[in-house]
Amino acid sequence: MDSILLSIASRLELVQLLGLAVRGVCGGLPLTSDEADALELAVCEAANNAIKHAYTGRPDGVVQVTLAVDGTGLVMCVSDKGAPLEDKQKLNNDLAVARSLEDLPEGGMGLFLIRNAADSVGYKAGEHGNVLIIRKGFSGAKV
Amino acid sequence: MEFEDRIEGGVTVVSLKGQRMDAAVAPLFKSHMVDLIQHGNKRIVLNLEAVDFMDSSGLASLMSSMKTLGGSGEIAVCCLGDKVRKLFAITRLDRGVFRIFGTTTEAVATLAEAPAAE
Repeated sequence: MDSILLSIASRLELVQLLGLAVRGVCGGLPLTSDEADALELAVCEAANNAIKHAYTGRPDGVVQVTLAVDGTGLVMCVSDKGAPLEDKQKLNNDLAVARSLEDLPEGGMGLFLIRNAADSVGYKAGEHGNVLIIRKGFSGAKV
Repeated sequence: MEFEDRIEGGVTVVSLKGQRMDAAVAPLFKSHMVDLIQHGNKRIVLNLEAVDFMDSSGLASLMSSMKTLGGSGEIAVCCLGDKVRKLFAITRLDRGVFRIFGTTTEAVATLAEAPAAE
């Protein structure tokens, strides 16, 4: 399995670099343009979550992204060493159609967009930090 | 992120000048919108033609602006590129939350005909 490690300081203005890097990698893989768009968005959402929630906006943390590719798909592991996700249920929440102003979702869209981009999403929190694992299989490949 | 505001037929047209509407710029956008709304701009068209990338924070800043209006006006969007249009569809915000128009002219004409906001 081939892999590459990306790393940024926990600053929101740097997240776009991760997105651009993922887009570049996806360009060399058997993924559609829509799939590449969704994966670029997913890695940005995951990094934003790490910065805003795990590090609570502190700029002195590190967000790392490992991209690993084999013959069947791409795995993106987004890791941080901040606070763990408290409500794991947020990983599975769906978005309802808003019927009124009050129904407009305040949050949770990021994880929804990550799930939308992926075939599977996992999360691990431990003493060495937190990692969100996003897997996308190649179209037509056996996953 | 820079913005260009102009008034057409009683409708405020806000054109975003940056390519990204993401978590890094969403607070600035939200602040700009709150300022506009508090100064009496209740019918607003957002021209997103220049925006190539939007994330959930960008969307959240739009929804927050809509909530600031509190039902006494409207924010519509226009000139969406494919990626941004798909984002609105995936998040279902194109289903009655934001009216989406192909051109600024069409959006302004429609909002200008709406009853005056209280």
